[in-house]
Amino acid sequence: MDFPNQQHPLLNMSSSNDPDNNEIEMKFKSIFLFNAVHDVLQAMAGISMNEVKVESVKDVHFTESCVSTVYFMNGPKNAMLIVSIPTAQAYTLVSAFTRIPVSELRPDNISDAVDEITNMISGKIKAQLSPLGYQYTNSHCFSIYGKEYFILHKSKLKNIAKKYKGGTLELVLRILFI
Amino acid sequence: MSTKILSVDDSAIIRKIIRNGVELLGLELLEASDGEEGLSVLAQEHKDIGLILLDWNMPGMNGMEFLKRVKAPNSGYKGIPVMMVTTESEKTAIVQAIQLGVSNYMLKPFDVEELTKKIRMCLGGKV
Repeated sequence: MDFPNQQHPLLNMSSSNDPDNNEIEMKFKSIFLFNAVHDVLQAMAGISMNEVKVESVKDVHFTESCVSTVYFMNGPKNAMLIVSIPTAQAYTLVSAFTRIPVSELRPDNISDAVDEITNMISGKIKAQLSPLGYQYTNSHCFSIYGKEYFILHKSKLKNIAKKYKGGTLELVLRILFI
Repeated sequence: MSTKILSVDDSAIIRKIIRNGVELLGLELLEASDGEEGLSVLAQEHKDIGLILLDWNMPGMNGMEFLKRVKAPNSGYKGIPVMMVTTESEKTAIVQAIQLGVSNYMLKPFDVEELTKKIRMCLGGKV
């Protein structure tokens, strides 16, 4: 499916500044998503991530080929965690933490690695929610990759969208409350 | 001393990272992508396996089911130490794993230094 960026429904969805977010959504926001992303990338690849300030949701959308992994987080308010990394950067990242040369990596290695990174980020988020009384379990992961794909949802769905950068690596994290 | 380590993890990438650490210690890694495959490897190689590194959440037979089979009184593998390598950090889950007989617990993400240190601990410092 191909949409010109300006017309894409993804770009019209409610932003993370929606004033109607309820308590659990606020807890998600307050549990240091940055720390979860930073800790995982630091431990696995020695990369220090920084949050990139974004003005609108369109700033967290990659138009280039990328790998996305989706986890369903089942708990008091079900959520979908999506992590996206541009494909070319994912190859470099996976090569760094496996010591497999980029030329020897296969596409299934890349989706497997992004799955694991997302699993670990999800684990870090769950670990911070648990002491606050919010118990979550995760589904198995689902991967999406290719060029110019969009993960569409109703425009009023509550969500958090964050972008992080470390060296040449960019990573987008989104939480959709379902 | 048993010089082989069995990694039971559905992620080939995680098994590769574990392999890098295990080989640094001069040990051999055997791999399985779920509990069923892990039991098959154990059936053939258990005399040489000194440690099992076990993921929790896997499609098919998961880590807990595998652990129950390994630690069952008549399994024949009860004496092989097991270290969980997982993102599962819930206290109740960790307690459950300890009650079932795991020797150590390592949360993902981990680095090779932490991995090799914990493997040494599980093997009684013999590597």
